[in-house]
Amino acid sequence: MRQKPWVGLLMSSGPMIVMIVFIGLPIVLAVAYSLGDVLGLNRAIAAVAQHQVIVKHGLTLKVYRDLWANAGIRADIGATLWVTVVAVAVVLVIAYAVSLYLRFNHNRLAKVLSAIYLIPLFIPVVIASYALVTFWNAGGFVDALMAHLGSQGFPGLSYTLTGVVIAQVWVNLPFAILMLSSGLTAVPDSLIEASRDVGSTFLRSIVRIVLPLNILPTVIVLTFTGIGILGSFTIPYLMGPTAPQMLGVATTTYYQAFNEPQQAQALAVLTFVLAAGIGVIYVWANVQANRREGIS
Amino acid sequence: MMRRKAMVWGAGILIAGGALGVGPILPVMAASQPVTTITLYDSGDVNIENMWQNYMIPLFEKEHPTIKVHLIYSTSGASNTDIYDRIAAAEAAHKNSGIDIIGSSIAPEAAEAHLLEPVSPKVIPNVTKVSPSFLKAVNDEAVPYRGSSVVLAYNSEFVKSPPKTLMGLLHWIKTHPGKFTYNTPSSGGSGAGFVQEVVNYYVPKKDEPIFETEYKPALESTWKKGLSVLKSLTPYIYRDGFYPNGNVAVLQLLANSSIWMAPVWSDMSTSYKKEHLLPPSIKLTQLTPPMNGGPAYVGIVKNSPHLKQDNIFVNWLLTPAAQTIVVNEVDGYPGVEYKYAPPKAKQVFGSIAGDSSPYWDAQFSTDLNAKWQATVAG
Repeated sequence: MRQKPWVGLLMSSGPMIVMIVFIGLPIVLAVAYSLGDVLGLNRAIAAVAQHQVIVKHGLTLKVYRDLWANAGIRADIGATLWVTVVAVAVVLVIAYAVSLYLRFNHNRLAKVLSAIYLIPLFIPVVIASYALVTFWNAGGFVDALMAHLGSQGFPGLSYTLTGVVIAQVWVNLPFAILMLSSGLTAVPDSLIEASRDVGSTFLRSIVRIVLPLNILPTVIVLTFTGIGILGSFTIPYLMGPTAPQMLGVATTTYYQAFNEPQQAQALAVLTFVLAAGIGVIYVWANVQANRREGIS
Repeated sequence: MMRRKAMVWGAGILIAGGALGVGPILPVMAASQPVTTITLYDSGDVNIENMWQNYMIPLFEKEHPTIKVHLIYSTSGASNTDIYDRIAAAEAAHKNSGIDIIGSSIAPEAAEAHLLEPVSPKVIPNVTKVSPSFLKAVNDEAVPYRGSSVVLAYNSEFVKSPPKTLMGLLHWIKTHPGKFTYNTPSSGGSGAGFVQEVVNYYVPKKDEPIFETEYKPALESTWKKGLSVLKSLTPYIYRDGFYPNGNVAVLQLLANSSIWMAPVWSDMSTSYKKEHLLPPSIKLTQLTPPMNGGPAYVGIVKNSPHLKQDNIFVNWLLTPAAQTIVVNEVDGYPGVEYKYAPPKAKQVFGSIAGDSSPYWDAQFSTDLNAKWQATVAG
């Protein structure tokens, strides 16, 4: 078949142009603005913003330095990382437990479970967050349940970072289980049976055979969930405490309530850098997987 | 090969569809029909959205069949910054932003920056019915059409003698731990009103008017005392210092008796009482010095292509018909002076009407939001 390079170019140019105009250019502008450049397309936003750092020539890191000097922002960054790490870890543990159960059991419970775990996928995050706030709040369902069991004074987990973690886990579980169980299904029974034949325990065959073959889905869950939680807004806005805030909420607050778009964009750039850090893990895992399969 | 061909065609159809789809919409709107559509932007809670959509606009359109009003409404002011940027950018380019009339907190801000058309009795005759001081505050570029103020709500079932002064309130908060809160100042005006009240109390009297009319960031050092007083309240606030997001969240806490006292908007809380969303035991009172309040403005954006219709609409908002909607449906203070207002207005609001401190300048307010988040919430 004769190659026509222009066909491919034409086909990819549409999405490419969209990417450049609506994603690439705004990123470049935002980064430039956060570094003190208020000319060109940044002029309109700079005309109404408060507390800007403006440089006539060159660029400056002053916006970032000032943000870092703010103890509240440092607490926000800490809270964001804590929620992300803890929530991802909990998601991974629960998702693996459920997926392994579904992989090796075909009883009625497994059938019910495989239908139930998908439910959060079909409930909008806003609705779910409100429900979880009421459910976990003082005076809510959990509180009432504990009072019935004789334990008074449940403080309520709504409006705490723990509450944010609970909500994040709830929302992110379906995707994680979906991903992991499809990965586990791809592990051939014959391999597991072979390892059991030579006398390895069930746990040992899981750790030595199943998990290593399921690395790529695990990394996908890890990175996609991580990036999603890192940049989340709705859950921490509704479920989280007044302070510290997660970066998504802090960014919006700086932009809307403080009228400081430059600082908001600097926070957005920071979130982007953190997400890119997670992205690197994903790319690395893909490269490894491809290399193993002989595609390079 | 087949698949690739199909994909090329698919992409082509998509691109062509996109190009065609956008095109024809614009000329249709500009077609020479007798009906003119004007675009109104406003923000706030759902009570105001309801006022526009179910009362004001239908009645206006019925009385003026050649004018249609297109409402763009942003709950809790989430789009205020975007819309303001858009208007400012359009004005800088001497173009129209697509928005003819703006309400919300950006209206006075835009008036201050001379982004709005001057209002004079010549084009808006009813403007003579509003208090001249309200017009002066916005360079005669916007019209006050309704008002409200932040008042203190308390549950009379638990609170027999509510505090009358700010000092009395602060003392009450400390002697009743967990029974008071206010929403974060950045998420709603009632919380902002309380924060401003406390901060203002410790500001030198000579500086007070500056916060209302000018913007001098150096003066913000005088906020320190007030902010530290607010910080000292944290352990006595509901759930050891939880500040909910939004005016409504506070009303809900009042309704289920989680808290017994809170700053609330006069109009929202009156409506809530009427609709039984707040129990009858919730009463309203005002402090000395009073918490802030004042008019809500609408203004006509410069370069609007429909000036004639805009003027008709803004003028209509000050007619008895529209002012009755303000008083009856959203329990707002009338925008016109009381002698022109529906007689019911005075008796509904009784002791809380007309007694309020002026709002601060928008830029000072946003700075106060930021300082509160950094010192009180953190």
